[in-house]
Amino acid sequence: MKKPAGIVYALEEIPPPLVTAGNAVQHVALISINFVYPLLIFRAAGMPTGSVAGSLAIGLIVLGVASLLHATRWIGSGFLCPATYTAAYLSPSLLAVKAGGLPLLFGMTLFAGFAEAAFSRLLNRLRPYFPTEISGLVILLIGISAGIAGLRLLLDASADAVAPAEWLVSCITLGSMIAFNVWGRGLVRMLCALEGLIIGYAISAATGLLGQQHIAGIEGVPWIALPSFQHDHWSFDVTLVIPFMVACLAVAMKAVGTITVCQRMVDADWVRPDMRSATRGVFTDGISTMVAGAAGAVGTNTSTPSVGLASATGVASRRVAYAIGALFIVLGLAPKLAMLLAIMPRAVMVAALLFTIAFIIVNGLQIISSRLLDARRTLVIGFSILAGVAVEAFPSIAAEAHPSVAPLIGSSLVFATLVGLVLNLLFRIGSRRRARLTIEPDRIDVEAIEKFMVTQGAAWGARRDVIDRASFNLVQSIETITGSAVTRGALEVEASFDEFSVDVRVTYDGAPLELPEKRPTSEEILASEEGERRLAGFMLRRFADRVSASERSGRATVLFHFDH
Amino acid sequence: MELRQENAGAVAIVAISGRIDSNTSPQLERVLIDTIAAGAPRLVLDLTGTQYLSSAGLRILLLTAKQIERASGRFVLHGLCDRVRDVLDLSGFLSELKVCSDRTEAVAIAGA
Repeated sequence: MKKPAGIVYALEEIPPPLVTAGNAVQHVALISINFVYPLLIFRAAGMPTGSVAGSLAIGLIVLGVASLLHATRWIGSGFLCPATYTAAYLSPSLLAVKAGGLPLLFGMTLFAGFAEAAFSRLLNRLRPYFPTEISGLVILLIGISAGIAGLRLLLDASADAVAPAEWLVSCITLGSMIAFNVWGRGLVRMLCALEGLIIGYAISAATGLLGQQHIAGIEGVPWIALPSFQHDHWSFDVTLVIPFMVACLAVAMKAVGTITVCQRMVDADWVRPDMRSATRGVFTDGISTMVAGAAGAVGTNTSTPSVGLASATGVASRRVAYAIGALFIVLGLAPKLAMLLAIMPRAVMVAALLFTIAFIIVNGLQIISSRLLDARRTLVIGFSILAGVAVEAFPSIAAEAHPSVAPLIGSSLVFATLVGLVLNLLFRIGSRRRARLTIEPDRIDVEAIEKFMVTQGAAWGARRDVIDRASFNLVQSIETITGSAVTRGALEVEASFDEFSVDVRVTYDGAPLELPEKRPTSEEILASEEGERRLAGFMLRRFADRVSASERSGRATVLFHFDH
Repeated sequence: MELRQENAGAVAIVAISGRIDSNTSPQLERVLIDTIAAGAPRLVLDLTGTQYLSSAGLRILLLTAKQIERASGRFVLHGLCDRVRDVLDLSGFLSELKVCSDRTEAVAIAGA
């Protein structure tokens, strides 16, 4: 593993204690905003504030244990990839709480963790059925459903009337987070959500939303104490299997993405995802969620913003991951902190939720648009989004449905994901992973060649940037082959795709292309046509991840391989 | 490929729209050589409308840069899209040619 230029402390290196501690505090501060998700769920369950604080304290300890597990190489991915709470479990958790209270919430969370751990073993085999644009769709839908859940806290007909002070607190909290994010620099920008949260608490105290009874709640708990495990039974409901499976698929796919980013961050020689550490990471994610369900917390996931923080600070050491885990556990033993989280005013919670959801929604859109989309994939995405929006816009659909299917169509996330998966499976009929094109050297239509590559890329759902490079190489190679008059007759092009590579093969009668490893000098390029051909060959080699040229019985083949 | 020529003081500006490949590079070569021969060793190439640059086009850029260097002039490129920038970068020419992010800066450097 080669240390990249921007990394100060690599994975195996040990930073000084102050650097380790300082970075751990930053990561915990970054992750802390996601406690709005368990807070929202526990309040929806009607838990009194004292019990909410106890459950949040357990939640802190669960994140500590999970972060430690993720950092170990024998069970986890081994990277600095701490655990966090996630919007993915918000929708199914709210369904569980509504249907069967806390025992059902924790029982189904336990199930989801088990399912994710089992799913980790099948990752590679299931990848064709969960292409990247479906992952992006699920993330987009998580954002939309969580955002609507947050808005319902204030705007739903059944919600308590919103006091003018609450509007003020919400606007100032959200405005602060936005301002720090847009105009802040460095650490101020990175911790914008936490800074906005602190301002929200301060304004809440100033406007009376946080009053003496809340302060008394904090004063009434000790500084240090073991949290008590408040739940001693768990239940299960088969009608909630699909909603929780959708969530666990989403977190598994996100964990693979996060761990891939970790791999790339710490290794300058990184070429392609290492599925072994990704599999361990997803497995550990599942175990962490099982621990959460058993202990009385909600589902967890890997923290992608933490990987961004490690990249920004250049500190990617595993030591920091251990310190994060230890810090979370220590904070879980501080009831005053958990109580402080538990008394978060509704207005502050909604602001924090909407702020984080905005990034989730755009992240989903970016993932969807990172791939070329043909008509099939466009219909999958379009109809899925429509299905999700329809469920939110017309709640009577679920209200009037049979109880056995109500959880499926009662959740926009679940229903839209099911529509997407079914349509994706259906549209695989007739799709091909190989495509051919014949080019006559005296009738070269460059636009048609590029259109061929883009059309195939869209049919495959391939990455836009990889298809761009493949398209350039194909056109440049045809230009060079036909321009040097080394060929007789038509050129046969074959392009093929799997999730890991795009390959383009050009076969023709004639001499093989020269593909030098070293660029010809300026004098050589200008001196003759051969110099320019060698420049072309050098460029073809540089643009592809692997290239080869061969000849057999007068038939030449050049093969370009692009990692995907 | 379409070429549009204008002047900004002593600086000649040639704006290119379309592809620069083996078919179009002879036309570009003629225009650039004529521009240099007309006594304009201060040249800005506006590539804002160029989406494709092949090895043939690179050769023309290299030839132009050498001729202007011999004439003690200035040759500046601007308006590179990502793909054209990648071609120049991967072929090793990005560090050898003067590239600017906008026309004003390019004209200022060429005219200095």
